[in-house]
Amino acid sequence: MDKELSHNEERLFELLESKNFDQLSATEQAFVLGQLSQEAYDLQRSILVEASENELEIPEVAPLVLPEKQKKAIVIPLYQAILAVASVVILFVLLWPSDKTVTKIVYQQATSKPQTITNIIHDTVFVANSGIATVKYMYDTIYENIVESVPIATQNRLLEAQAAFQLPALTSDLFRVNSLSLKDDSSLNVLSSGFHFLSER
Amino acid sequence: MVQVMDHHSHAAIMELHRRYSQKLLGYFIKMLQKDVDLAQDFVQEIFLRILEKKHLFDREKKFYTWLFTIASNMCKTAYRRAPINSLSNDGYELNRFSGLTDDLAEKAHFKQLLDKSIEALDYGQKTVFVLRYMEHFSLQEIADIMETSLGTVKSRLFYATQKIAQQLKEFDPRYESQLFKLN
Repeated sequence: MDKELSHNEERLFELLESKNFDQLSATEQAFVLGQLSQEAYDLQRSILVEASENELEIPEVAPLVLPEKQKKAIVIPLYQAILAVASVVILFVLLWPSDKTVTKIVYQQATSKPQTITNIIHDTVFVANSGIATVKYMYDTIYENIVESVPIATQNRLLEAQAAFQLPALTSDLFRVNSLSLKDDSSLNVLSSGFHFLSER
Repeated sequence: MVQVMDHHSHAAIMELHRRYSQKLLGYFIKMLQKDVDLAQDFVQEIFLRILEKKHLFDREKKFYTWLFTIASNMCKTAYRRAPINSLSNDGYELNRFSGLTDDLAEKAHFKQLLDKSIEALDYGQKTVFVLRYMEHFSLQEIADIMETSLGTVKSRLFYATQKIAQQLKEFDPRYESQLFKLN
């Protein structure tokens, strides 16, 4: 550890660098003699002067020999290699297929929805609603639940029915009798006897 | 220049070498105990390092300062691998200067002692001393090169100078009593 110079030492250093003893002013000489002898000052001063004037004979410099130009080897710094590996890992984690379920709702066009007549009673036509079913597709490890309509039967629409299409037995259904005939109804006798009773009065 | 280096590396580095290699070689020689061959190798190596590490250069700072920061770090590594031996007086031969006049011989002797003393400084003190007094950088530039504070630079310079003075006294008692007259 280098010791810092005191104020006096620093002043002495500056005087030593700049002046011989006989060039110092009276105040400076008094200051110097307070620190060291004149002989010591002269010796130190002579050291600095002699060193400054000491011109060493320098020989001729050898010509510079540069190495042949070589193809630069591609050097990848360690931190770049680590970053690259980390990036690959992060991308792998982000893009790797998971068990995530994707649900798609498929809206079908109403105009193309086929309908199937399942029954006709009197003037009522029963049409089977398009069923809603869940179809699960499996793509590798990706599961998708696709909700879509699936026709129950793949029959032609009624208006587009071809000649081969057979209608259900309309007549029997239309004229089917589920009640009593008037002549068989006993309540009529009660009514008619009541009518006679009132007319005799 | 560094912008040019982005696209025309080899041509730019050759130009940088032309501008700064001599200065760098001097610095390395002073820092590496006058080992000229090692200093030449270091000059080669520093320019290859600049080619490799040009992207590390802060364009807010001076290129020259950045260059010496790299150079100082290379010297620091060299110091760690092969610590500098402590100063010994085996190599001091006063007789070597016997053919010179007294004044010149004394100066040459002083210079030799000074070089040895600078060599014996630890890395931190030697670097600031060389950069300041031999390469003539400003105090702030040295602080930038050494990536330290201005206060630390001043402190290292002050104590390095005192250490060198102490060693000069120890190895040649003439400096204990005799004034070394400048000029």
